[in-house]
Amino acid sequence: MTTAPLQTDLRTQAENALADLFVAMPLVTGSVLASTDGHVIAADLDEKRQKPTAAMVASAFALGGRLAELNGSDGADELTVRSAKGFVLILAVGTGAALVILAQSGVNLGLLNLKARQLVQTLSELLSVQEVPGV
Amino acid sequence: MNPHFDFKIVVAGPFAAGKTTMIAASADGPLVGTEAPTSGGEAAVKATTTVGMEYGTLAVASDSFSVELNLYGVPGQERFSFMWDIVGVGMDGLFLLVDADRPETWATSATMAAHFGALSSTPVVVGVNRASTRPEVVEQVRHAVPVPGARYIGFEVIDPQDARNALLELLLHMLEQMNDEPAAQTSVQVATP
Ligand SMILES: Nc1nc2c(ncn2[C@@H]2O[C@H](COP(=O)(O)OP(=O)(O)OP(=O)(O)O)[C@@H](O)[C@H]2O)c(=O)[nH]1
Ligand SMILES: [Mg+2]
Repeated sequence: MTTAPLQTDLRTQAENALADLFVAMPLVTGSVLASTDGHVIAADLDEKRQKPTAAMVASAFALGGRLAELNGSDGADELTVRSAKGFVLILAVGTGAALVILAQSGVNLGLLNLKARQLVQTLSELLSVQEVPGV
Repeated sequence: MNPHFDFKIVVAGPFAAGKTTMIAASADGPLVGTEAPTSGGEAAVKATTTVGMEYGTLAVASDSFSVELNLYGVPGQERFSFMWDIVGVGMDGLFLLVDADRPETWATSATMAAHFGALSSTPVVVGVNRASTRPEVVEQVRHAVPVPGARYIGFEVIDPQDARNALLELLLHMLEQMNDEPAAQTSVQVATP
């Protein structure tokens, strides 16, 4: 298996950071840090949803990057899916990973966006300590 | 004016079978693709992998009609199988790739054939990459990857002429099937020339 190339202590730190968001924002229901090729790097989500979520994030993020080219950009920084039940936010973390945050409708989007950006900063620092091999 | 047909062809096959290479070699223009850098064990095989889909077109003209083949490549890994279901909607033909040099991946080719076969019963061509001069390998694949009604060919994905001929084989298969089953003709859109 090729999941979780992060060292265990770094994975733990990343998952602590994800859990902090979960605690700070009650309407956040889960989050996954995925490599851009669809593997789980760290997750705060029930076990059986982690892998399919990481793969879907990689596909959506890559297609989002192609859409961004319509505007002349090189890739996507962020994708938002708004639906009847809530939000799915996908944010680039460095060049080789993306963070997905699941939140229920009613969540304070302004605050979530602020906290999500802080989380991205924390996670990209963790990843740059030990860059994911091959990424 | 000759009738014009628009067909959707899905190119499937296991990780690193050569799907992207084949579409890039055969399409008329540049591809819309979704390559991402590989990590872990896959990084030892190649540097990037398709994580979403890719799209390219190939125009085909004959004396009596013109055709545009819309080529859709999918990811090979099981973790992306949801993309097979998304991209498979409305396909008119399936091109299934098998890597002659990696028999350990043949079972995965068979699994993908079954997955797409369950989505729709379109004509299938099984293309055995790196087997243009090895008919005996094509025969082995015929037994190891049995797809009902499929045609089997050996070719090289990297060679544009070869890749296009392989797709033409599928197009012929599709057109013959349309003639056999007039009902299928209703699903074909005839565009105004
Ligand atoms: N020399 C040679 N190289 C080939 C041939 N077929 C495939 N390759 C190489 O094998 C690799 C296949 O890569 P891709 O085309 O990305 O394969 P893919 O099926 O799209 O892979 P995924 O999207 O990751 O599942 C590439 O490095 C090709 O250059 C061939 O016939 N001859
Ligand atoms: Mg590919």
